[in-house]
Amino acid sequence: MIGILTSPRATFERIVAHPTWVAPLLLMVLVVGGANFFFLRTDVGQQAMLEQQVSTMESFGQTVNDAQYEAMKRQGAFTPYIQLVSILVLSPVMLVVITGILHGVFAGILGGGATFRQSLAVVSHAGIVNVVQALFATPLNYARGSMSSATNLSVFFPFLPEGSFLANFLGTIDLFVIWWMLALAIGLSVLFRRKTASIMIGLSSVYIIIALAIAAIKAAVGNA
Amino acid sequence: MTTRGKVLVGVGVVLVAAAVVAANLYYKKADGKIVAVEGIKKRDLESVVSASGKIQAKTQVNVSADTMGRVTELAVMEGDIVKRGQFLMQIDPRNLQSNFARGEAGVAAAEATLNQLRNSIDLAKENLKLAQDNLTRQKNLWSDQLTTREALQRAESEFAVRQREVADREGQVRTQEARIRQERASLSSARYDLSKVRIESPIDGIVTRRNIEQGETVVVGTMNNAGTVLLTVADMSVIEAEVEVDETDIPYVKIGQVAKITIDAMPDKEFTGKVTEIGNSPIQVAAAAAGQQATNFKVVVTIDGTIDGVRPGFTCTAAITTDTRTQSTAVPIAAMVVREMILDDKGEIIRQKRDEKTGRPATTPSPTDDLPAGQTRKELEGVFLMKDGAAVFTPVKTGIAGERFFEVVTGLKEGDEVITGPFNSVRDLKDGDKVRLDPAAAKGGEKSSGSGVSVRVS
Repeated sequence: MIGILTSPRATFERIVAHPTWVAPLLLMVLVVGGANFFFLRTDVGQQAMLEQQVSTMESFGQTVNDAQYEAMKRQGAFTPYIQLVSILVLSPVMLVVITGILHGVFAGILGGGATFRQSLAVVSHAGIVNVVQALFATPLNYARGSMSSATNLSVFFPFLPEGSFLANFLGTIDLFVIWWMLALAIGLSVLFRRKTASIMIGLSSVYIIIALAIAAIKAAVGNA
Repeated sequence: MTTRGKVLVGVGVVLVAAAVVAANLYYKKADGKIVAVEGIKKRDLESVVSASGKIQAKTQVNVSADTMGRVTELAVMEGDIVKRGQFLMQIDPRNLQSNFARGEAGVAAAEATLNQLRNSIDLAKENLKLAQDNLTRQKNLWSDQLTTREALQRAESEFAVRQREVADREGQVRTQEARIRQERASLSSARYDLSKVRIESPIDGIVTRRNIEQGETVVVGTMNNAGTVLLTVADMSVIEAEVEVDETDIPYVKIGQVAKITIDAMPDKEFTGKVTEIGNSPIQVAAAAAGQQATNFKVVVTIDGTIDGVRPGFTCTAAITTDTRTQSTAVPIAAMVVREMILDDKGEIIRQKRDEKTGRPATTPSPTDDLPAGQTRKELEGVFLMKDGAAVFTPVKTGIAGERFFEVVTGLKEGDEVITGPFNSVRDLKDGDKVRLDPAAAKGGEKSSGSGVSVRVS
């Protein structure tokens, strides 16, 4: 699994030849879930979570009243467990959904010759990047006392007005997501015998469109 | 990929990771919550009680009919300006005219009868005089024994009959005179009824409501029957705002207090007036929440001067100035909070020691923990002052409340910097919490702090 980070193409060739998907999924769920759980169990994590919830609601134009704030505060004690269960349940679901979409596009529409199990193994192994992200970002989040992404592009542009379209857009573009897409693009190119660059351009386009939409909605409702 | 390439990629990844860490730590949120502060200043304060209601005329008359009948003529429409005594409408007079004519005929007939009776009295009196003369003559003859007793008795009887006849006639005249008075009263009543078919304006004013159309039949109006009101005439030379003031505010409202009136239908205009009436009976108003009732009291504000184009029923809001202070120490309402504090036996606040690194209380007593002897918990109203990067809770005794500021009676002095926002921060602040100002926002705020806001951070 380390090979995904150091020599991804060669590693994915071995994975495609002998597809397995359970181990990387388990590793990702345990590390990401565990990191989240322990971070949220700390006072810093609890406060950061609360601020993140308020900030998210306000960025979408909602006002948090006293009763809601108190309710969120009370709910904070259960948040680590809720998050852990969510990650345990949703990660496999998301893995299957993403695999289904990619397999549908590359195997179904574009006529690539690969099994669903192989696609599942590629997507699952690309998720190793998320493990690295959890290990890298969680201590950083603790140090910052914040739940907001420590690895998005907006950290390099602190002078941008909060809530502006550009700030929201850059805040949605995460370096680890780019890395994950790159790993995924390499894996898919190995699996479906296509150019990595064209796959990366496709994935990036979808990502940028989603980021633009989120930024536009936030800017619109946040300024309403 | 070659080894050199891998090394380059590795170095690149490390550099990017380092840049991310550096950016996060360099721009790391400084200790403490970002807050906005505002300098305490002396200000002119106005305590205002606001209430909404309706515009109405001071004098307003509901015109009803005093007699039943069909409307044959209608001379006014809603919005017409009318003068006192001006013709408004005519009710069909024919029936009442007949009554009047019948009354006149009755009086005339009764007067003719009276004249006949008076003539008959004269005749009776003549007959009485003849009878009296005859009686006198018979008495003289009787004394000389020149007549018979029978003739004397007949003369006496004739005299008595004529006397009764005169008395009867006089009685009949009195009866007839009474009947004439009765007939005249009936005639007067008929004349009065006839005068009521012509309805005139009782006051100078504007026809604000017309509930009748020509050809419709009106019925006799009564005070408690709104359906019998034909027209409403309002004197708009004196206009009032009748508003409903909440029971908690009513003790502060006094006769003569000045009020500013805004009328929804006339935006951008403000009118002045004075409180002229305060109701003593509560008005129960169903509140939005089910099962709750708001108790309000009627307050009438008489507006200064006249207002062109105003109509009774316009929705208005009255801001009644219940108290004023000149150059009083004032604290923003947004800064006021209530906190449960621990007090010693002298009533002084016991400040909790804070951890230097985390800024959190070294020991946090639970609200249910027993306190040492002499210490008590008490909810205090106050503000957070920003001192040496920390929020320091300071109890404040407030006076009157203005629109944005409370009067400070004790607890603060001019120049103190109180934390006013953002709302999330003030809501959660605790005594001793670390706070900070955003340097960039502080710089911008100071430049534009003409209105007493020393720094504004969001």
